[in-house]
Amino acid sequence: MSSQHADPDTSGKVAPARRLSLIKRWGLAGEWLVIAAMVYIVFVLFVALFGFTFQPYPHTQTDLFNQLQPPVFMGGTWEHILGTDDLGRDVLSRLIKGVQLSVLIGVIGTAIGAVLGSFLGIVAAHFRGWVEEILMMLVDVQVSLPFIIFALAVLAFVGNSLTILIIVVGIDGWERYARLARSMVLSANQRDYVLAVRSLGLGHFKIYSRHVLPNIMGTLIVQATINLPGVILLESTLSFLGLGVQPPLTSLGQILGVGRDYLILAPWIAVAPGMVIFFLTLSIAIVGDWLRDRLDPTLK
Amino acid sequence: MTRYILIKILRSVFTLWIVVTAVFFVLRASGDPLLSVFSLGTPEATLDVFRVKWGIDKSMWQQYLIYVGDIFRGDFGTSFFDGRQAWDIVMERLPKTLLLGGTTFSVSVVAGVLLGALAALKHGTLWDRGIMTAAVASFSMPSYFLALLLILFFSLHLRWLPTAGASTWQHLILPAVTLGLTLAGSIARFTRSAMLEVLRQSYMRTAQAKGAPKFRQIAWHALPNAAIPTVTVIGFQLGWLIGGSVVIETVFSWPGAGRLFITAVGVRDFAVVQLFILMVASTVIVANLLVDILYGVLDPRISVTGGSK
Repeated sequence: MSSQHADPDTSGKVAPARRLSLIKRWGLAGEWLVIAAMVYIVFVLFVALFGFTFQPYPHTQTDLFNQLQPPVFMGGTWEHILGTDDLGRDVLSRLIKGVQLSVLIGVIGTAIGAVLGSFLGIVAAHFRGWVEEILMMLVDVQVSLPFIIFALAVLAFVGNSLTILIIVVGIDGWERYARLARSMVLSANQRDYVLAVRSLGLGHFKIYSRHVLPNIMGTLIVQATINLPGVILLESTLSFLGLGVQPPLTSLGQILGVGRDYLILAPWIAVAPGMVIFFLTLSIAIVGDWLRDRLDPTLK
Repeated sequence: MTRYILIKILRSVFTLWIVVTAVFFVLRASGDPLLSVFSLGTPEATLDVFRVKWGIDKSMWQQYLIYVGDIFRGDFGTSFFDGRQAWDIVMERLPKTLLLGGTTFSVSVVAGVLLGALAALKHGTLWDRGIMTAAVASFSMPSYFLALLLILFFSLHLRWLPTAGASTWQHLILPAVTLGLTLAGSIARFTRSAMLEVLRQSYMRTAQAKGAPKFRQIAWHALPNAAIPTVTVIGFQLGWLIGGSVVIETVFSWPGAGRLFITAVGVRDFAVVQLFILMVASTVIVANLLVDILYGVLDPRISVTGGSK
């Protein structure tokens, strides 16, 4: 811990010294890949939050005189920097809108899975007995069916709306948190600090919320970071197959689905959103790995 | 050991039953299945005829009992669309899926284990970093996007390989590569961490100290021990492979069961969807069961403690 504190500033070069110490404090020295990944994630988050302020056109605005215009670096014009799609809609504008929804669904979906799974895991570890048996049985059920197949069936049969999509995507991965939380709570319940607060007469809710949860939170957050790319990929795959986000809303996967039909004529429609997703999931995976190694080497 | 396996088998059957039941009710929560087959103006009398014919005039519970009873008699229902047995429809598509899945699985297991072991042996070098970065990249890549990029490059640009279909062996290459890359990536990652764990053990130092040749050290002492966690992971990847093949078969118009599933889901063909899910779930459950048993065989310590979960 002592090495985390950099020397006090003596040279007068305040700003560079501070920045260096931040990078060092986070253990980022030399981890250029992780830094680049973080920068990209921050950029995508910025676009998702504030993209509407610099989005050139409404994402649904069609322009039938300018269909399938190439991007500016492929001989197009600055009117449409990343070109237009089959209906003359601006690809850049659609990307910005798509990033917004993909990130939104990814983050909310991951949060749902994390909260639901952790809660059930804690419940299983607390009650033991038949409650635990049933919950672990549900985990087995979840594992036995590839999630995308379950998601496709539900979305096609039960119906599709943004809410249903987010809930379905959110269920993905709950069993991982449940297993993790269960085993961590089981071992925490044997620890002295829990025994101590229990013998002091603290209620169950307070024991879990004030003492156990803060201790297992780090691992759960790392798990959520590791799950996030999967959730983003799941949504994009469902949307690509036409069963996810429905027009007029748009997400990265859905733009790719349109681009697939114009692969020869206008490859940019598919390539642009694909690259955004790929670098996003890659960056989150890199940061997730780094976080795991740093915060919790026991997790695999 | 027998008791342990018996309990596992019972649990698996129970799990499968829950899956079948859950899927049955979830699919029917959507309302009248006839609405997706017939247009809106169809006379009630006609609808009633079909309701009786397909057995959906009965209550949900009656339908469920009939469905489960029929499963035991080997009757998986008829398709609403062409009136054929769902079993025949799925079986017709299955060989192609097995061909694609089998090829992908075997190639990526070999490639993944070799690359993972190589990365572990060259730990900390450029080899290690390169292989691991490629592995992370491979499973961060949306598989359908990789498929489109490969089509764009190898089929449309170079014109080496066909874009869609399944008539020749060349058709197999792109879908298998797309599916296999992701799988090989995650297998490589797990093999590497398992190998690193093993290489740290004292018996490896013993093997080294007694002067065993490098190859023998790796093939005799390291790999078998690293195989234990790796086998588990490979077993669990099977479910992932099936899920992935549903997407990839659709992108490459590969006439397998996965693409059939997407079509069946689109037109809400109950019998076919249910049968497909039943088959996928049983495959994954059996695979997990085998992994559990194999785990016990590979690592005798497990059977003493009675399971790892």
